[in-house]
Amino acid sequence: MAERAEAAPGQAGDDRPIHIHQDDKPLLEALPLPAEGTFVDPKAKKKAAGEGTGEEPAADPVVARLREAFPDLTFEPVAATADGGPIVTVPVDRWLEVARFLRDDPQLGFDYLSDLCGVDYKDALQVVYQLRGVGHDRRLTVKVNVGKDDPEVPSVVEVWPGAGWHEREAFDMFGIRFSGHPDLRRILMPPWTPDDVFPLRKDFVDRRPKRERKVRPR
Amino acid sequence: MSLTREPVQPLELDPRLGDRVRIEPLDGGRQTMTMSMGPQHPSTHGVLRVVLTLDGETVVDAQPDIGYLHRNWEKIAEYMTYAMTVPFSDRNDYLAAITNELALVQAVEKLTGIEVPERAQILRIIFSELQRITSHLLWFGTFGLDLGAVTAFLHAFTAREYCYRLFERATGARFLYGYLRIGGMRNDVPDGWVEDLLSFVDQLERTYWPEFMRLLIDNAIFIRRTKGIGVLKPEVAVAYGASGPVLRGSGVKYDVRKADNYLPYDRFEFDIPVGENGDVYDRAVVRMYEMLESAKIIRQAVKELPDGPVMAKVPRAIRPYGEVYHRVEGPRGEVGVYLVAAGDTNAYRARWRSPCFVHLQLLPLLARGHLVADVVAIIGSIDIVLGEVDR
Repeated sequence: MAERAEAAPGQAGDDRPIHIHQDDKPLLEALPLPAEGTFVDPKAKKKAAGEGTGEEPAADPVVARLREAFPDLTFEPVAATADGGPIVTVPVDRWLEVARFLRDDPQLGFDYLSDLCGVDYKDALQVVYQLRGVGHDRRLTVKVNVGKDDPEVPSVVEVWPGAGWHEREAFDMFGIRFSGHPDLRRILMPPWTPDDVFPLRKDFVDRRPKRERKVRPR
Repeated sequence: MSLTREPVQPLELDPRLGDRVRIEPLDGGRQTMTMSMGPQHPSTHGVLRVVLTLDGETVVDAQPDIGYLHRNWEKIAEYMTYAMTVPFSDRNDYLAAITNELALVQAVEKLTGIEVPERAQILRIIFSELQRITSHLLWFGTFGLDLGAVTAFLHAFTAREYCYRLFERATGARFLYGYLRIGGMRNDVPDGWVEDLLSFVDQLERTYWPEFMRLLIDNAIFIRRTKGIGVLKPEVAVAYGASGPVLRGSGVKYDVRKADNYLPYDRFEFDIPVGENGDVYDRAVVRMYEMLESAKIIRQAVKELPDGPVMAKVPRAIRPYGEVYHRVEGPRGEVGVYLVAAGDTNAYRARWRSPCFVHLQLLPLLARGHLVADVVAIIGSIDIVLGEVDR
């Protein structure tokens, strides 16, 4: 055996920080932010050309009401989920104002935050909010894009208090900071995780020391 | 002997371990003690640590510390094809594997537009309701155990064993099934299974359920331990995004089965039991009555079970585009799956919304002002599964 210049990864004497590993590469590639709000099948788009599929979600009453209340915002790109729910995009600096309106407006009444999560794209991080309401069947998906250099999104804890832990998880997994959050700490990862490690980002490399494979002697 | 004591300095501990025990002075010579309940504790239903701040035996604050079972389902799901994710999602809420699979499988079906045969739809209803009964039976047993009623546990597990035999005969597994497929089910139920299911439902309604009510729920000690404990107001429950029996225990009549109708539930008649006060007792009673409602759905569904295939024609490689958020009503509440698909066999982003994760953040609100023994009852009443909290 050739003599080892340094101790085996993870063993005693290995003083490299755990999160530096030279030869690994991320396995997944980040895709650019889809221009149409969500990923669209290029073949299906050719088929449906001329029919104007993009106008359907914009005619949704929820989107119409939003445009009426915020005439200076276009909420674009507007898209639809696979089951027809509207998706709107809100600029990050207006999001808190829109969020309060979404909850308090009697025509919308989105008092139930079903889910909040982050998504990592090549050029931006995205926070996705799934809004529902008790007592009606309207639904809305809100997307807030934020640059990767300084990902800071206003916290919606004051609007929907249940967002607290979801935001902590998005911070833990993506490094999105939620300004105004009362207790923004890591939640699922251990507290000694290095400050620059965010596991759900696409460029994350699993840098834990590889476990030594034990082979039974024959 | 004087009752006032000298203030005690906080103990120096290894910061990586957090604060195991810390004593800090309060006004009037009293002290608060900060201590851990868990991560290994008989009443935490898994690996959960609750950092309790106590004034005597009264809880001043209870902060859950989670992540001990974290394995990042969301990251691993990005590396696996959609079909490979299904058995892995069983492990999230390991007490309700069918509803986990259902959420994921239906999300992919929405993305791809696969039509599921009718027999598979009705079978999915039967299995998710049977799963709800099974999960509530386990909750009933362990909740009794938390409150010191060991007999209830033994009786509940007898009934639960009956369910698991049924599951085993149909799916080949007792616990983690991998039974639902994208486009249907792996196999049809065996001959005579439906009759045995009905005899179980009979026995549940006639024997087990009244027995359980007499044994635990109507017991005076149980009522004294649970009435008025951990009260959750309806507006708080909605604002925090609570779902399932926790939301309905507070009196909010909201059920994803009725709201989204993700399976043909509108064909069957069933009620949504709701509580009045939102305390531990109401959440318990709501769960008990949900078992009866599930039994009612199973009876009706078996009558309407059509013949035919249980699997649709599904392309060999599924490469959808678009995104979807799909939610189903699991035994613990709203299980949601958010998928972003970019035309690959893997999801670009897979997100698991688990009800227990949301419910656990209510713990400080519910526990404040109660005794340590009540914290045990509150944790039991929100019915957490740590595999799902940590994913």
